[in-house]
Amino acid sequence: MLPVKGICMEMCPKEETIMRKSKKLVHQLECDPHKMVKCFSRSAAGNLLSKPHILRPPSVLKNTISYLLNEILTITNIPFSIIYDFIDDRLNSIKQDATIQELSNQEWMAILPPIIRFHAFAAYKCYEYDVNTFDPFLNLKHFHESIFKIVRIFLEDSDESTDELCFEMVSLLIVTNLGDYNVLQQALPFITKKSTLIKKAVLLSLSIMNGNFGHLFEIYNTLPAIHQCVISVQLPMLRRNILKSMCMGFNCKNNYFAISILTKILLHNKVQETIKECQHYRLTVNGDKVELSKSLFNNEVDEVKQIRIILIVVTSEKRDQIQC
Amino acid sequence: MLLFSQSFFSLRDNSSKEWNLKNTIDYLQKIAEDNELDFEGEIVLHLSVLKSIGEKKYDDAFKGQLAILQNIVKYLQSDSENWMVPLANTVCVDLRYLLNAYDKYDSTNKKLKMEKYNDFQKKYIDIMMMYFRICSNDIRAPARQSKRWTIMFIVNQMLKVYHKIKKFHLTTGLTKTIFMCPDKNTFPIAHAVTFYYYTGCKEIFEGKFNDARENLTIAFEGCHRHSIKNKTLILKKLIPLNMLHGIMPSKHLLNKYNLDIFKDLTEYIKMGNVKKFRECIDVNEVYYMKCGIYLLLQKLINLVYRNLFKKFFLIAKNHIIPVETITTILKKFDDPETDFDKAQSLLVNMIYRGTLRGYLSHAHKKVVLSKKDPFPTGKQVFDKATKSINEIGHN
Repeated sequence: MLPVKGICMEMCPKEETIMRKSKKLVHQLECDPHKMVKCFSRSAAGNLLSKPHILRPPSVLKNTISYLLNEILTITNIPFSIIYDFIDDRLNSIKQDATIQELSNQEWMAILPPIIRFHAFAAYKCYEYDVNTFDPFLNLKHFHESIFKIVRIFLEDSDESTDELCFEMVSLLIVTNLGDYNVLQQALPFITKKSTLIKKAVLLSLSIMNGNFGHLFEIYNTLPAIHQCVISVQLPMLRRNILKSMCMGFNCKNNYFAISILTKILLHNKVQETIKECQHYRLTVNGDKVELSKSLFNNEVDEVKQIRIILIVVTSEKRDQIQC
Repeated sequence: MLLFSQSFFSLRDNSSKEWNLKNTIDYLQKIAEDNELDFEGEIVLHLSVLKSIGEKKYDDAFKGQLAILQNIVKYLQSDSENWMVPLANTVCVDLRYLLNAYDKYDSTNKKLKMEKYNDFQKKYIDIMMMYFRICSNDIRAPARQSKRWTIMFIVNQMLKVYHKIKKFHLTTGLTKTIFMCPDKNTFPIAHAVTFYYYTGCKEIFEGKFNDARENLTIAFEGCHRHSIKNKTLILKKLIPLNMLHGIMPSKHLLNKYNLDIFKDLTEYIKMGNVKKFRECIDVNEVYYMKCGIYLLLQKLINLVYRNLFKKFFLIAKNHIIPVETITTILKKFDDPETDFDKAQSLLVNMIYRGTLRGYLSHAHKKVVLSKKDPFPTGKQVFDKATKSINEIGHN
């Protein structure tokens, strides 16, 4: 059976526009009636999704993505959590449309990368939000669904024209799951491609897997901003492990460690953050030094929710990284 | 008669299987009648399969062979005895070979072929699952007539298909059923070797190195001593696993099985030459990846560092070593750009993981090694306490 081909040339089908207006379901970001975007709706009994007039063809999908990421994402006078929820929902509906129409690999390759970058960026941007306003787990789940799909596509057919994109996506997948053996296994077929970006990502992930954090700082600084975003989110967990192993390594009476050096190792921006982190794990801070001790380290507490501020101005970064 | 049917339907070990006049349907029908066999339909199918193979139409051949297996499985279901099992086994191995042949030789358009191949694969798994269910449910029959003894064989065939496409997660259920069998030690040894080999491979893929080592050792010990090829296959995975426990392969072993690929690597690990070790992996990365041991070898790096430091320690004969000295050593034998901080973080991690016993003094910028046994053996490092961090990593 041939897949359905969409014929809806608007971002939102007429049917839905009328329905949502009558039921007052128009989102606050959809003030302009010509710029409404199709909602995500679950497939359920009695809800037939594969009707051509409510499906958008690939070109419209692409335009919708650029509208969402270039115009909605840059709005600053509305809380980001609302913007995130809106874009996340609309991107889901785009993926759904694309799945129903069984797009070709080439078309998927145009649609998925901006979506993946958006989720990576959101993971960073929304890190400090309350779990009720932003669910990092769900965000990463959407991220992984898309990125695994595109990695599978790259395995099936890729040529030189898509290499650049392939390197970016595969390395992004690796650095999102630093030290994850299973993810590395999946990314292995790409190491033969001789890309420095992938090589760096693999090296970093392998070092973290083997517990060697000496490369972290150096490699982190050479990665693109979007990669830094997803590493940033993992920093609290990494810092905890680094601090824990340092407590084991420097375990001796009157062994004080300079906080300034620790700040660099832990990838903190400021000395104060390091002090806060050390105190959180019940380590004694003494002036500009801290006593690292196995017995003092409190393993029971959660990680400190603190990430590294990425120094690029956020709006310009979006333009560079997320634009399709 | 049993042997006759088994070898007659085999596509592999029969030299008279060329499609020729002698093998006419009449002739074969006569054989069938003489032997009181009621396999007419299957014989016709078998001949058409041979014809398709001769014409290199592997998709037709696969379809024909699939029909044969389907019929035989149907017979098996109603049969209370197990004499037909060897026949069914032969047919399903051939069917798998045809699947592979289709993948390898068919030259139709790529996308269409992919679709067809996936479809064939699914059909193969379906019929094998049916065969599996019939055999594993056959618990009432007396041991001599039970079809149960062949379930490991059936599982092996499916494992081979799944491993070829690297969908290891789909094999978990299959291996579990075998491990849960109360009579799992009564299966033929040849089947068990294959089974434990594939289970071991899967466990390496999942990072369960201790289980993998156990299962591959069983496979290696059970393997017939003349099947050098299989033993070599097992060793390719088992050697790195043993290295992780600090057990290095002897030169004799590597020569015997022609495993030159591990020769240099073993030397570099023993010497503690991190730079050469890394280079060696980089040069052979494709080969190691095909074996599925690339990441496993990368995990050996902590061991190489340990050996390097041990060598130095034995020369220096001092328990207190300045970190600056370690940095110099690392510059020579690892990354020339190693700095003090990197060397220090490396030492911290080694102490944390138990590959080194001692502590660091930040004030004196020195590492103080334990008086007693500063370099535990690989086995000790890999004991229960540190197993989780050493197997999986920090997560």
